[in-house]
Amino acid sequence: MPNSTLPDPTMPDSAAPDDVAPDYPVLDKTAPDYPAPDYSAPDSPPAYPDPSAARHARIAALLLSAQSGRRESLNGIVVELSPLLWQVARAQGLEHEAAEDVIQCTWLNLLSHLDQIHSPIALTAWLVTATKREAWRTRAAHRAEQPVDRNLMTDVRDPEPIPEESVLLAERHHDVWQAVRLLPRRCQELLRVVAFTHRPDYDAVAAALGMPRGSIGPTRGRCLAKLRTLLDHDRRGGLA
Amino acid sequence: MNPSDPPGGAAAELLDELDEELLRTLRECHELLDPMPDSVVQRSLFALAVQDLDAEVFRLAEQYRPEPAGAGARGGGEEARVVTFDSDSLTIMIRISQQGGAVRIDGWLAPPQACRLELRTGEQVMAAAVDAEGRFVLDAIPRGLAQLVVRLGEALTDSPEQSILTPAIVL
Repeated sequence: MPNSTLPDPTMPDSAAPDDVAPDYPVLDKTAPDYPAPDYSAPDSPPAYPDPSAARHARIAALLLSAQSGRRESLNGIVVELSPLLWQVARAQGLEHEAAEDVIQCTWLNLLSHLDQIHSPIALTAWLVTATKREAWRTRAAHRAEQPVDRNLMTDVRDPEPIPEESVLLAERHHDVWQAVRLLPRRCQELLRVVAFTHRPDYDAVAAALGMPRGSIGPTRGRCLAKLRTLLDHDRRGGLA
Repeated sequence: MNPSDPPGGAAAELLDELDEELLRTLRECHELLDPMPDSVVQRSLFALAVQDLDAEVFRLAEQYRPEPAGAGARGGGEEARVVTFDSDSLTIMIRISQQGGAVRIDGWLAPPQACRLELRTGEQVMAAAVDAEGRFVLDAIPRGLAQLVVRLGEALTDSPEQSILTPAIVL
């Protein structure tokens, strides 16, 4: 896999909370046994009023520990970040099994790149980039093989309403879902993936999805602004 | 215009609480409608337990699955699945067939070359030799997750030993 197209692993991690984590083994590579990570959102993190900062510090610690050779820490990263990669692969239109294969390959490829990644943000960016590229490649290969009757995209949610979705989703979710489906496809993909991204990683993930660097923030903002406008119309229409 | 809306432009750069709430709701929608199967993490963790840190990775290129054997299908229950993996330098094709309660793999490595190959299963590592025609056979393999590791000699690469991994597949 050519490294040149991957995000710079030395990308500055501006959101790194250097003034927090006093009791967290972030820099202690020799910590004898990293405590079994709690993969759910921490419910009482005294040191981190912001849960995404706590998570950021947790991934930073897992990354350092994984780089020093602890497989349990790498496993913790897999548990933390696979749900995001699932969305990246599925947003590219892959079927379940193909998405699973692509995610596995991403993790295997990480083994030989782990040492070059120096921050949780760079890690997320690397993983999203690798997954998206591999998903894209897989989809292109399948399309070339199966030009007519096996349309991979049947597994992707297209703007047609699907009845079961309405049954599954509560009203609030239903409104948001319907509005999202009216957005341009690119916005749908971006918001789907950003929805599974923690705040410090937003910009890096948007960049990894191919948004030009200069317009990362505004692009994401535009998609959200469009979504809010749609919901606003919807609400006013409902009241009228 | 809703007075609670952000003024747009530069302010759109910073997400407000409503944006965060929308993203949270959207996340919940996707989790409900397209939940990640547990097997994603299970298979990834299995594959990552391999010892080879600097390996190249095969990607799954093609898979043929036989139709579920219907009544009156060809005798002998001879139904094989064929999976092809590609890496930058090699292709490996395996034919997976049932053998009593176990599994047999007939494989071909291309370009052909003699080398060693291992199959990691949950309980053991099974070794096989790949012959000069690129063929190998593994049998009496327990069912379950398995991963192939090809170990090339000096012939193809500059490094003394290069390993190439497949993702974990379910046998």
